[in-house]
Amino acid sequence: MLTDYRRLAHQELWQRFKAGDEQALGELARGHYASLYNYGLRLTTDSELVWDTIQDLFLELWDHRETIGNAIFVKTYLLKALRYKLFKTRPHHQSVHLEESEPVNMPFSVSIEDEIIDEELHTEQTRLLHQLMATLTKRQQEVLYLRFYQNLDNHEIAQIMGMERQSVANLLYRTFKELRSQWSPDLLMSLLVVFLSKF
Amino acid sequence: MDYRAYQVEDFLFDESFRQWTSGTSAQATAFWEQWLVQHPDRVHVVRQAQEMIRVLNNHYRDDATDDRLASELQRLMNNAAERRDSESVTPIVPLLQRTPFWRWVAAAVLVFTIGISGWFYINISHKAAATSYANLTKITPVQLQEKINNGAKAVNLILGDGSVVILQPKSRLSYPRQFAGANRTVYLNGEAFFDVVKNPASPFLIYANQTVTKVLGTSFLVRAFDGEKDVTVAVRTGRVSVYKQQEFERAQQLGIRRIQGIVLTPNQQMIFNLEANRLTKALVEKPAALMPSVGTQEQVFEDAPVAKVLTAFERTYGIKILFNEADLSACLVNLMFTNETLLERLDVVCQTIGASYEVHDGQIVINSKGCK
Repeated sequence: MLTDYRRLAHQELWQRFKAGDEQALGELARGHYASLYNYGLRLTTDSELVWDTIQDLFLELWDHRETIGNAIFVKTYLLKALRYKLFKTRPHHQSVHLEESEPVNMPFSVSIEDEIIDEELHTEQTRLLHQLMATLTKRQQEVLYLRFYQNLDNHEIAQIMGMERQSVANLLYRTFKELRSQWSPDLLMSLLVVFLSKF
Repeated sequence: MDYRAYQVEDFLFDESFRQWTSGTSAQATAFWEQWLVQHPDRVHVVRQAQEMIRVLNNHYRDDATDDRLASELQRLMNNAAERRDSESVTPIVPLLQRTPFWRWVAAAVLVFTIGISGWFYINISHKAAATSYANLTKITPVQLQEKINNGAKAVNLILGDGSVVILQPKSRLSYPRQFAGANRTVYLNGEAFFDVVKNPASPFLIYANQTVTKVLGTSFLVRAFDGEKDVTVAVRTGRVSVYKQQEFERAQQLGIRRIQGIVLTPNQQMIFNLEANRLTKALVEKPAALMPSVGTQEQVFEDAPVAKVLTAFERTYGIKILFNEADLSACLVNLMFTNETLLERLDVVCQTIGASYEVHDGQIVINSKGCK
């Protein structure tokens, strides 16, 4: 949650950016680049495409800085724009399947052993979580991701994914219901509590 | 903040707590280590929350290094500075004025144009005049209507067969109100993206600056401005055949079935150089990126009133949909769309609520008796 002060700071930065301040562009980009990249990887496995798309995104904003609106929630605005651009550039055959019955393999499902360096993390719970996540649809994974990793509330998630707030809540609920049916240990229970409590 | 009352889930969304767990803030670390000493009874909750954050963070880990981030930022700043420098100069090539959306097309075409413009200066031959847009639309026996986009933004229009055209600025398209006969023929001067409804019985033909592009049902881009030396056709989905207009017409007159043209499949593009009178085929540099995806607009509706769905379509596709709001007020639908074309989406909606639709005069009219 942003404090008022930080929200003001974001606003001010945005205004400077709109006024053509190159330093503001730099700050804006620095502040969001990593999380935009991470989000992009949830939407496509092509990391170079993500890098390029973020680059394009900022340059387009820069080109249109005088005419773009006042983004009150800059982060939400940027995440949404990136999402839109990535969906737009996605080759036809790769387009997202929304069928709830069809899980889509995400990049993290490749050889977990290679990925995990930290011995401590290499627990049964981690493995289980990976497995469980892979059974979710892309849309479910995305909602979960935005909720946890990007720390957004249902309203912001709704804006990014172009859904109704209630639909986001429903989707999160359904996601957890599915997870719950497959796994009941502590980790999941606490996860459930976490997300359900945010409705 | 009273952290004593915090449960695992509350810690999960506390920024300072997360910073401590990920070791990104010395300040947070100092605070939480101190706090733990003061509240030994909360240790187990804290440890549990930390473990969960680690597991999830690990799950969402990416491969971005600081070096890579720094170089990307540098690249961005260089590009931005370059743009600022070029802003004060009047663009020499009108291509540069295109929306960023089309930048890749512009880049591709520009590279090519620069390459050959060193060779010779434009001198459109008299042959071109006979096949010009103005001339073609004049001599056609069918009565045409014309859409001219003088604005700064692309304009969407829907043709009599339901095909959608995104007409770029400074472009014009002539087309019959309703297609009749063996072919669906349109004439383009400028640049447009086509999402053509499949109809094997009636091929869709686009006449544009000495070329004819023939498709059965697919989506692709045609760029053919009168006065430009190149014509570009790039394909997003399906198969497209491109011919020189001269050869296409001769073959039609002689009844020859096989015409020498170029067949394009997705992510391929054709550039027709008018002076060299040569068709060349290449891969689209940035597939799909160069074309708007009318067909891949993802839309989800849960318990949504049909009127809302239709309004969303209107907005997405920029096409007017006429319906009686009162009749549809009781209709709620649950729908998800990904790759469907506008008409496919309308089919689904209409089937769901037992309605029908027709394409009329560039608009879509929904006929419904309502839901009960």
